[in-house]
Amino acid sequence: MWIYEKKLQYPVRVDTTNPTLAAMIIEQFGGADGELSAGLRYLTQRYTMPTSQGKATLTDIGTEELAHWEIIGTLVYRLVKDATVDQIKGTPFEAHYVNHGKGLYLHDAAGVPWTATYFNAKDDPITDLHEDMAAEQKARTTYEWLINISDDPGVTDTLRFLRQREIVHFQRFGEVLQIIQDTENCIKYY
Amino acid sequence: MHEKFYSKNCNNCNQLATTYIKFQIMDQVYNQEQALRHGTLFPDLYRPYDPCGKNKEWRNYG
Amino acid sequence: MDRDQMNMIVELMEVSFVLVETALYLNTHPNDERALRLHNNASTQYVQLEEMYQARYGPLKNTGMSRYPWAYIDEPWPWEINFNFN
Repeated sequence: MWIYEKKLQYPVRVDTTNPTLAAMIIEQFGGADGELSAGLRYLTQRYTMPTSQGKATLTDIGTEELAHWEIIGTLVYRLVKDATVDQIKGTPFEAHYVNHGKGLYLHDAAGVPWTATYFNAKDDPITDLHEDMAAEQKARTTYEWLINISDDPGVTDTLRFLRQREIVHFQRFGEVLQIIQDTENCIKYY
Repeated sequence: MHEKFYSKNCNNCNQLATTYIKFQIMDQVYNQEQALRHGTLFPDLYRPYDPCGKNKEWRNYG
Repeated sequence: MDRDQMNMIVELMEVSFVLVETALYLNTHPNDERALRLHNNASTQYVQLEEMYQARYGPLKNTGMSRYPWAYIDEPWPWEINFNFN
């Protein structure tokens, strides 16, 4: 089960009011390679993942991704909370604003709403783990493009933290894959 | 029982159509303040992003 | 939020983060004794820090103990805090 701890994983600092940046950051909130997709992918795949190491890794990384989803939500919230309507008009955030005000919502930077089709669970650990490793790389790349366009130093600092987490997750999924491939070589379990 | 998972004589690194990821062996660790700042406890896994191109990530992954 | 509370939260974040890293490492390296020692030390440290924080500022989880009235709901909530002192 899940327990909520009333603190973020990282001390987030947002230095500016910037609706345009918020509209880009939201890509990692409700986008295909964002934190919610990652979290739900791993937490969904874990039911049929063999090996205790695999179940634990998918559960714990999935849970950490939800904590990252919270950080992204925080970034978007803080970037627009003090914005006047004039600061929002004419920016990519205006389209979001007319539907959701300054509220959060699950869509990407282009406004495309989130869908479960962003991930799969194939009940084959080799398949699922390769998808997980690819997902971490896609997230890392997205953070790199976001770092390129961010002009808020506090936001950039948080993006660097989140990007580094993807690299560590990639390594862990790789290790689970190794364990499963080594296990397969001894015992055929299907 | 788990020794073979850390063995350098891996079972599948000579197999075709198979991914191989090297196992991390914990070496140095950052202190708690450095760890949070870097985004990892392990200097071995720290890979900062340099958008100016000299450290372009894809080169390291190639 | 005052500096002292922010500093305590950051220290909780730091130790908590070490635990995330040790747990993820141990999930694929359950036999690494050195990692397990590091994890258990950080775990003890975290419990102590959490107790100290909660005694002053209220529970961090809704399973924690609270003074009267119920302090878990107190603001600010995590997305409302700006850590702008670094």
